[in-house]
Amino acid sequence: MSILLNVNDLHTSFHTQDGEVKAVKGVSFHLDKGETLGIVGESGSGKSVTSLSILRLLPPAGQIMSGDINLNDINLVEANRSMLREVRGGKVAMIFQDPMSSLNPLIPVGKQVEEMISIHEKHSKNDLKRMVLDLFEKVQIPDAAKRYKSYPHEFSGGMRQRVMIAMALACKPSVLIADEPTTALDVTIQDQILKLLRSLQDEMQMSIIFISHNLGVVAEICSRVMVMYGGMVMEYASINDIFAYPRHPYTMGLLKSIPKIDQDRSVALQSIPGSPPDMTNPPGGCPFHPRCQYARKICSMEVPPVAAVSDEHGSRCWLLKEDAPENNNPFYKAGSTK
Amino acid sequence: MIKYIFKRMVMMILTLLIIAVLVFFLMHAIPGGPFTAQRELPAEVEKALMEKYNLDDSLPKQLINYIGGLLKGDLGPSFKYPGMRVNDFIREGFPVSARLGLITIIFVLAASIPMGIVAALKNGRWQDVLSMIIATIGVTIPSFVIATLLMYLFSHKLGWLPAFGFDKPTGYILPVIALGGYAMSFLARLMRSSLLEVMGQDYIRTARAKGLSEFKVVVRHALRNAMIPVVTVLGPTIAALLTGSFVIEKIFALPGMGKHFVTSITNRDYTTILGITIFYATFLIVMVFLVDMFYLIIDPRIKYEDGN
Repeated sequence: MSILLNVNDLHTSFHTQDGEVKAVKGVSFHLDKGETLGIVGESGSGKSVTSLSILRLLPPAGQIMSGDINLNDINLVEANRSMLREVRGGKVAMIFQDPMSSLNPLIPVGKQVEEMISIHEKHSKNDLKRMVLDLFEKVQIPDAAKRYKSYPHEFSGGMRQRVMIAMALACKPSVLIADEPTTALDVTIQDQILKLLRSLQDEMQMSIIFISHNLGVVAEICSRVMVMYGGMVMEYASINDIFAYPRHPYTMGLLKSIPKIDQDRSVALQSIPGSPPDMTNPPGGCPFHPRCQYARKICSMEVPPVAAVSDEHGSRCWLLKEDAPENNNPFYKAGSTK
Repeated sequence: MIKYIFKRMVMMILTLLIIAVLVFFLMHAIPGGPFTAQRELPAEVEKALMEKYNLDDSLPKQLINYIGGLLKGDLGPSFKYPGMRVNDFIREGFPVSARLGLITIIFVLAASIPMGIVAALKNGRWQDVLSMIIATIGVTIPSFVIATLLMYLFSHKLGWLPAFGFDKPTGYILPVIALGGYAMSFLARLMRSSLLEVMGQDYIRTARAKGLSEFKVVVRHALRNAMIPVVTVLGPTIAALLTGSFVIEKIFALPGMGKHFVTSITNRDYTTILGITIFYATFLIVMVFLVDMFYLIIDPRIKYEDGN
C-alpha cells in the first residue's frame, strides 16, 4: 500500500485569553491509499483539531505550531493559499458532524453541490446540473430532480448528511475526512450513512479518515484505529487488535464502556471515572494518569514514549516498558499481539 | 399568499384605527386646549371658536366625526393656524423631510454596511477599533450635539458649508450627517456583530473546505445571512428618517414636517397631533410590512401560510 497522507509530529495550539492551549501535541500517523483510518477519542481529545489542521481550517485562534502534513508531495503546512484551495474539496474533502448547520440555509442544496464542482472544474451549466443529479442519485437522495431546488431546512438530518456527502465526493477526492458524520443522526440513519460511505469508498477508491467518539461505529467502517486522549495518540492498531488486544488502560476503559447486547443487565455499564483533562491546565506526564487505575509515580512525571507492540500496533504507556512492575499491570509480559 | 397579504392589510387598517382612537383620548386627557393661551380669551369668543370647530360636541361624537373625515382622507383643519388644514402641513413638509430622509438613508446604508463588514473581517485590528470608535460616538452623542458641533466647525470656523437651508446642494451635507449619525452607527455595530456571528458558523467552514477564496466565502455565503438582522431594523429606521426629525429641522431651519411632531402637542392642536401621528404610524406599519415581504426574498425558511 502506498502512503497518501502523512502527518508527522503535529502540534496545534489555540491562543486564548488564558494563554496557549495545546490541543494537539505531537500527533503522527499515515493514511494509505484506499484505507479507512479511525480516530477515536472523547470531546477535547484533539481529534477534530487534528483533522481541521490537515486542511488548515482551524478557527482564527488556532495555529499549527510545528510538524509536517504531506499529501503526496504537497506540504500542506507550508502550502500557499491557492495551492490550499486546490486541495480543499479537490483532493481532500470533508464532512462535518452537524449536517443542518453545515449547509448554508439560504442556498438551494443543488446549488451548493454545484458550487463545489465549479470551483475545481470547468463545465457548462447543463453539465453541472446533470452531474449534481448524478451525485444525488449516487448518495440515494430520492426524487433528485425535485430535491435539487430544495433548501436545507426542507431535508431531514439523514438527507442533509447525504447532501454533504454528495458535495464532498463531487470532485472525486482521494481523501475524505469525516468528522463525526453520524453523531447527530439516530441509529438507523447512522447505519444507512455508514453503509453508503463504505460502498462509495469501494466505488471511488478513496481513503477515509473517520473521526468518532464511538468505537462501535468505528469498528464497522475502519481498518485501523488511532485512540486519542489529551491531544496525544495513546494507542494505534488494526481494528482487530484494538478489540482483541488493547494495550492501553484508556482503550480498555473505552472498550468496557461499550454496551453489549448479551450482557448481564443487573450489572451497571462500566465507565471511566473522572472527566477529560482541562486543556488550559493539563496534567503533567501522561494525560490519562489522573483517571488511570494503574497509574504510578512516573506516569505523572513524564510522558510515556510510544512502545511498539507489533509493527502496526503501538501504545503510549509506561506499563509496556520492559522494566515495568508485575503488580497491578494488566500488560505484564503480555507480549506481542502477533 | 394573497390571502395572507389581504389579512395583513385588514390588520394594518385595524391597527391604525386603534392608534387613532388611543391618541384621540390621550390628547384630550392632557389639560388645556387649543385656545388656552396666556392671555385669556373672552368667554364668548372661546365659545364661538369651540362651536366653529365642533369642540363643544361630546368626545365620542367628535371621534366619529374625525374618523369619518379620516376615511375620506381628510385630516381636518388646524386649530392653531387658521385657514390651514393638516393635509397641507403634510403636503408641504413631507417632501422636504422625505428628500432629506432619502439622502440620509443612502448615506447611512453606504457608510454603515461597509463599515460593519470591514470591522468584522478585521476583527480586533485597527480598522475594527477605528470603526467601532466612530460608531460608539454616533450612538452615544445626541444628534443635536453633533449637529451643533458640525455647524460650529464647518460653517462658522471654516465656512465651507451653509449652516441652514437647502438653497445650495451642499446644504444637505451637515443635516444628513447629523440626522443619520445614530442610525449609521447602530447599523454598523449590528452589521459587525451579525457578520462576526455568521463567520463562525459551520456552513462558513464548509464553504472554506470547498476551496472557495476568502472573498467568495464572505460575498456568497456570509453576507446574505448576516444581512437578515440588519433588514429587520431597516423598516422602522427608514420610516423614522423619512418622516423628519424635530431637532434636526429646528437646528438647520428646514421647512420639513418634523417640527409638527412637537409643536402640535404643545399647541394642543388636536387635529394636527392626530394627523401627524397617523401619518407616521401608517408609514411605520407599511415599512414593517415591506420588510416582512422582503424576508420572503432573502430567507427561504420564512413562509407565510394562509392559516385557517
